[in-house]
Amino acid sequence: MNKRILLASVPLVAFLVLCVFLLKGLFSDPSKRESALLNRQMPDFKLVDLYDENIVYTRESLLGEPVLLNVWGTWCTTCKYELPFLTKLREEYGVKIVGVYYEQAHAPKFGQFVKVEDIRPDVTDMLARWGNPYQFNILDLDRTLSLDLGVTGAPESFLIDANGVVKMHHMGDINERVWRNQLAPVWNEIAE
Amino acid sequence: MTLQTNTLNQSNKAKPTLLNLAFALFGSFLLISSQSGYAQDETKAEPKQKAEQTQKPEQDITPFKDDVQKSMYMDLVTELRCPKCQNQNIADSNAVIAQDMRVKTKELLDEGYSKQDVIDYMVNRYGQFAHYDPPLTLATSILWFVPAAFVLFCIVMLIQKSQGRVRQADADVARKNGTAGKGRRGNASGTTGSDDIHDNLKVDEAELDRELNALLDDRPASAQNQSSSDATSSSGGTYSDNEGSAGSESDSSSQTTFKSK
Repeated sequence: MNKRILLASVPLVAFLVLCVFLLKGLFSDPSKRESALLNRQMPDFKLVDLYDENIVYTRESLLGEPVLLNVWGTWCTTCKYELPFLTKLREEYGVKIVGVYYEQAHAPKFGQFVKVEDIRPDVTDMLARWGNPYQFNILDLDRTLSLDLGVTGAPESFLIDANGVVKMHHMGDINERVWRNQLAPVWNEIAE
Repeated sequence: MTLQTNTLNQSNKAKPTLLNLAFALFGSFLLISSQSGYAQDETKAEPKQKAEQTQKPEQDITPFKDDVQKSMYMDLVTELRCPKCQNQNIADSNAVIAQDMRVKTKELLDEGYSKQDVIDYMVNRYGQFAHYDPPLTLATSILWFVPAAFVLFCIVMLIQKSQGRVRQADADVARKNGTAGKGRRGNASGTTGSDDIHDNLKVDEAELDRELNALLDDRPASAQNQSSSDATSSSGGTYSDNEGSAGSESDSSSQTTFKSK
């Protein structure tokens, strides 16, 4: 008799499990996933400064102290709106922020070319209006560093410790809430 | 009953309208396709040349070493998933990242990477998400084992249930034979169940006997009642007369048969 009740409840239990599973799916963010770069060494690169082609940055340029690497571009609207808060982070909390300039229109293989000379005035204009949080900007015209970092768009940010290990990969903008809830705990850890 | 007929009527009514709709759709489709066909005929010559012109530089963008490399590239761009888009491979997507990944795939193939090397390269950067053929891990094992386990469970249940039905059918047959031939079948199948069946049969027989006896007991009682009522209604003389005549008749017949012998 007990066995019969147990057997009869199998479909009900299966149905309830399915319900919980699907309900969870309703509130999950499919674009949110763990970065492959997490807790791994920052990839090597060799790229020039956005304003000066004679300054070459490599992986070593970022070592020594923790850094917030911010992938951005003037074409990206969300990047514009996170500039004031990032500036506040730099000025009030002393966070070292380095920009990776991500130019999406440049695609030589598809016959699209963007000149650095055309980017510079846009950048200057935008940073003057919204605030400049960057110590320097790395120009990633061919998006090679971005590909190695697993960047899918802009804005995206990385928290990298003094030894060059990626401790956090955040997709989307950084605002007060996101910083407090997600990035600040990790930053406090690596900044100690 | 009325509800049922109503629904039937409705479905009968709905069918023709659906059919009409289907016909209308089909007709309009024919019309549109024929019209567009005419339009194509009229302007066929010009666009064809244009298409050839636009195709040429595209072919120049990705020149392949040989057919092997081309097929490898085609496999890869359909197997690699765009990390930005919800569910497109990098061949389908026109996102910047998908373009970059296509270019990178070609570059890596030119450098002599194997197919698996390219996949590893992308997975290394974008995680397992970037590949449409995930490996068997603890997390993905659910996808493989749960359906298999479910099918297995169903098969086991089906077998168990059908066996139960066979046993039931056997019992039915045994019961039928038992009432006809004193449970000979039940003794023949020497399972543990047959003893129970045999006991049941015995009980059944006992019950039947009792019922039969009850019927037999009932009959005479009612018959006696009837005859007594008859007796009271009819006059006593005729009753004794009948008895007497019958007795004399039987006596005479017995005597005649005796004589003839």
